[in-house]
Amino acid sequence: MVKVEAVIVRERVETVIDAVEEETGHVGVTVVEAIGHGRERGVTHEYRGKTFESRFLPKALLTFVIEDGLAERAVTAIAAAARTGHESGDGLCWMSPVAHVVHHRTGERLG
Amino acid sequence: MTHHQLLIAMNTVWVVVAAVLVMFMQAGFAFLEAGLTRMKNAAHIAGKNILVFGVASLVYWLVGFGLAFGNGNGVLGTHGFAPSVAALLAVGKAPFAAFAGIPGSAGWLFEVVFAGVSLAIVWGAMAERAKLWVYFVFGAVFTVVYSLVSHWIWAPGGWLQRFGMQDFAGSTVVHYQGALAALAGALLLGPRIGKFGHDGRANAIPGHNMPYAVLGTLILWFGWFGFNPGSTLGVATGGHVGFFGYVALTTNLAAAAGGVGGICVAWVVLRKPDVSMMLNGVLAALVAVTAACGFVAPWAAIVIGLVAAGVAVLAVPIVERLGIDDPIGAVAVHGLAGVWGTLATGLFAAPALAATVGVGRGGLLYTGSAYQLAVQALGLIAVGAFTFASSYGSLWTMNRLWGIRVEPHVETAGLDVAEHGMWGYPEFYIPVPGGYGTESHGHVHRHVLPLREPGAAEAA
Repeated sequence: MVKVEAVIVRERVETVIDAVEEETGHVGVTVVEAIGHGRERGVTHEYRGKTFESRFLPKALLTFVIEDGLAERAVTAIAAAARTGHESGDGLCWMSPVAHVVHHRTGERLG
Repeated sequence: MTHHQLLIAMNTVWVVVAAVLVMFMQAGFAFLEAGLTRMKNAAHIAGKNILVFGVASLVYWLVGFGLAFGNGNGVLGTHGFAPSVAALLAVGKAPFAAFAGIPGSAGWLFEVVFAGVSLAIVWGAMAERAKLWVYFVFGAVFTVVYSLVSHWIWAPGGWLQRFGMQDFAGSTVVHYQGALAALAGALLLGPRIGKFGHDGRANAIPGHNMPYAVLGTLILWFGWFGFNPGSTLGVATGGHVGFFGYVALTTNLAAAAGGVGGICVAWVVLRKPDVSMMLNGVLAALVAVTAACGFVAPWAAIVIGLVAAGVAVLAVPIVERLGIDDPIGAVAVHGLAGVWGTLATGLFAAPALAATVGVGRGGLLYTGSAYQLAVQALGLIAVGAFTFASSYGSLWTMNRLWGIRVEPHVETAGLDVAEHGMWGYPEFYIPVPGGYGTESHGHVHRHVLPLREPGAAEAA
């Protein structure tokens, strides 16, 4: 099994999950509300006339645990669905091998 | 003090206290509307109540009060614009002879908070997607429209008042009118992004804080004890001293029936005892009994409240099915319940109470005559046509000239951060200095010195 993770803008969470499902047939995801930044280094807010530099922006971290053969296509689908056309802040996507994946309900070893 | 002066003093104490209660209804709207919408718009939606009450107050001082209650003809008042100190201090004299037992200033205060409530209703259906400047411009336009209609129905000599239209505290004037403008706004803005799926089916967009919505409803219920009983404009009505106590009783009975009825109807029809529908039931009942509260027996107040709750619970999904996105339910709760309350007064008005209040006559149920019901219906048709047309027309014009809806990326990000530069709940989205999950202060400001000099530990 392969773990595919993606940091994306929050507005695209459902779009990305739908794209993965459509492209690979894989169902199942964990979503974590995350904050972070890339090259843009955050954003400037205003509060009572003072600028307020927030180093971080709201993001989402998605984790898919997926069959080896589907992972490459999932990454492609995620990258396409997460691209907003903005200058920066669309996030990253990566995958890594995972071992000893157990399905809780059935006890089945998925590899 | 003479007996007459004492009476004026008592009247003024009651009317000013009632006006303050009604003013506090803005707090009710702030919590109700913020609670029933999403977190990303919370500060905007709560805050706009202050903005529009401010706009309404200024416009009402300048022209509204004169149009509504200044001496004039059957259609509008023509005196009392930007009223003078003398006009505001006088009791029962031109240009504000409409107020026989209180000074013009107390009349102004009591009427301006009603204009504020009517305007507050408008934005419920327009929530989460209107541009900020629209609140300024349409707030002023609507205050003028509202003032004209309140002249027709409430000012002595107003053309609907001469027919004897019974609208004790404004089911038509305040709530129906607010809902008509709300409907116009919702139609022109269109639904929020994501409200309707590709197949046209409505999605639920739950409010972010139900306890806020409950608190808002309770504050509105509380404020309604100024709204309805205060509309006696004095402590003695048609020879009954303390008549406002009776009005408070019918108001409370209707609201109680509305809450119980709302949750029961929701349980049966929607299969869940939905909390927000119970709140809608209370508010719809209060809206409906607003016209009737001085004219009906206690049992009728209960019937009016129960039916209003049923109307609201059934109408909210119907409005949605028509493709109208009304986040708070203003069209159902204030519009349809306002129509029901206005008509119900024509059915249930007791002749003795109509004589006490001195407006209109007994309803169909008591007299067998449909006259009062017909007058009520005439008022609804006239106000419906005028207020909807003028609201739709002015909003349509603003939309054509400048656009009244925010850009999609603003709507997606939320009005708080996109329009005002800061979220309503910043710490939910980002770390703030000293906020949850941060060092005590300063780490997000690069110009602030770190707590400890880097390298200091190694040097030591």
